[in-house]
Amino acid sequence: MFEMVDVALRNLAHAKSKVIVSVGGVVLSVFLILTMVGLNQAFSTMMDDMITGAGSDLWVTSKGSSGSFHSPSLLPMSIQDNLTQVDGVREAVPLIRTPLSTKIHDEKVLLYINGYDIETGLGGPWSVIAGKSEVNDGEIIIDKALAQKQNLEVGGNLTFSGKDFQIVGISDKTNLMIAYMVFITFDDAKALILEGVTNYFLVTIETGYTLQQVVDNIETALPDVSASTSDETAKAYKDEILGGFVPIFYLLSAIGLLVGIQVIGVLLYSLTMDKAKEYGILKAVGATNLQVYRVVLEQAIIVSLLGFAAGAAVIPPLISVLQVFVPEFIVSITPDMIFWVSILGILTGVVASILPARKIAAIDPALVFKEV
Amino acid sequence: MTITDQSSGESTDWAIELYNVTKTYGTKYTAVTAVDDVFLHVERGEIVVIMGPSGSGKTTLIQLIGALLTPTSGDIIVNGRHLEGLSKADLSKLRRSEIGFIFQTPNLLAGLTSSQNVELVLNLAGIKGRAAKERALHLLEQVGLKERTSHLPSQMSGGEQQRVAIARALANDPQIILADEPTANLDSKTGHHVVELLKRTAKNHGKTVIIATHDMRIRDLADRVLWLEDGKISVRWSDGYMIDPVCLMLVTKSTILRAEHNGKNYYFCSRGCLEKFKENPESYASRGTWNGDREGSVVDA
Repeated sequence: MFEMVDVALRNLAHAKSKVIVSVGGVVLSVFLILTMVGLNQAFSTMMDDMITGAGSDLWVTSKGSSGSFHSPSLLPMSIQDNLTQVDGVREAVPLIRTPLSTKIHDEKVLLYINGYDIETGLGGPWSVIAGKSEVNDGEIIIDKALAQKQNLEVGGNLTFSGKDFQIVGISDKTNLMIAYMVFITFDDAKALILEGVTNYFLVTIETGYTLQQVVDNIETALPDVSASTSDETAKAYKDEILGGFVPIFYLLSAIGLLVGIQVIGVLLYSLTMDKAKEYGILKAVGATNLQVYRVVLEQAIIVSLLGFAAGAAVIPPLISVLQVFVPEFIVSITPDMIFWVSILGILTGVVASILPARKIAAIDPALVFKEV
Repeated sequence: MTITDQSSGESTDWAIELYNVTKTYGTKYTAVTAVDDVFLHVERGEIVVIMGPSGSGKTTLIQLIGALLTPTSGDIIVNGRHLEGLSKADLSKLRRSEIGFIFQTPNLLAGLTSSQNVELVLNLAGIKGRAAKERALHLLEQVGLKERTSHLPSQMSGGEQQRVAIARALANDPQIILADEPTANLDSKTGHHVVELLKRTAKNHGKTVIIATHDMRIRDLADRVLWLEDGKISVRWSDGYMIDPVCLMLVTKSTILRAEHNGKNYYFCSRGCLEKFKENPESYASRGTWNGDREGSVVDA
């Protein structure tokens, strides 16, 4: 059935080149938006994994420190006994997490050393995709991106800070973009920082106690330390690390959105100008401004949805391909992101059609009497 | 110049009524009056041809009657409705349902087939789907385009496109047809066919038709011919105008495109017509519907 929407479709069909270029522009815009939102999502998930994946109930840090990159914690090993004696604490084991700059295959690499207690496994790798999931002295589990980037594999060796490690496993979801997380024993790790100190104590609690009760007990017994639940620690991590990046992510996403609006707006403006006489004809033969505006709006929504749909279909596999070449590129795209991006697509079309709509309102139907 | 055609009668008998209508473009020093104090009544079912040279205000007058322009002063009544005071939406509705337009160029939507161009107007009036399709096909059949319903404008000749425009003008069964130079871009033969079609259609459907033109061929179509000059309507043609013997268009005597043949002067709208005349003056010199000497000839309206 022929309806007004056909006019929109046929107008677009008559401007295929412009539409293709515009859809391409929208895809780039979607790429920017999805990448930024996906990067934020990936970082957020990674921060959660880094904390909750450690397997402890509570994290103990030096007072006033969250233990993140930005706010390192340093604790004396001597308090381990005091911690284990706190009412409600079942076990308290040290965890070293510290960045270490080194060279691998003559390339400068920042490792994020994770020296954990191999007896309890607390703080160990949470997503091993190849090899063993625990280490012994002299062994190391390395991040997947590091392995890809440096052509390292299980059974190979890695030397840093004058010590040889045998690679026994490959870990996923441990790429921090600016650093690669590696897992070694606590004893191997303590040689890399000062003797007699650790960064954290990971605490599990006795049954019958609430997390808050044990937090209070620890902070009462040891006034120079802070204790917090895994969720609180993860939040503090995210607030500190992502807090600096999130505004940038949002800004770039907004720029991506503006680029999309601009691209569609320019297309519509151009189409409107190209078809000004036809819109004049429509008005002359009795179409209201609203009916003509509907044609433009439909064009806008069609182009934006095409662009956003193409973007949503093409970008996730494109990112997977990019990650082969740039393993550090971590982006997490979820179905709900695609949904919201589609909604955004429709809104983009609506916003982009405002200027052409104003132009249409100004088109004089008497224009059709002028011979072109 | 006198303001003429001051017909009397009850307003309900008139399809179109213009009372002292003036349209001025620009202001103060740039003001140009295109239509000047026009008084005009057109009966229902009447075919009125408005003739006059280029720039005389014919198109502006059509636009005013078609509710596409607002007069600077005066009152326009179409089918008993005062245009003044109608909202934009009401004016759109009036154009959609009560007026059919035929333009100088067919002005079809390039991306739509001939059938869809007609359907579009029906869609605007709320007639959709099969009903619109069937009516469009019926109208195209009436204008002799049964076999061209799926063709795009680019696949049709100028005459065929203009016939589609006539079908489109009739789509919503309007009472009034307004045509502005409907044959201006057509060759002589095609123009003749379009004129015949317009006449037949208007008479068969009992439409009120106003045609603005400077094409002499359309004169025969009219119940009444009006002469428009400097925005004013006159019953007589001005002495200052002649007929191009090649294309039969009205031209001003001041044109430099002139030729003499057998002691008589002939005037032309374009160099092309002049050249054609020179190639075979005998065949063109005898053309025309006027009486007497061509130079300074006056034809009664």
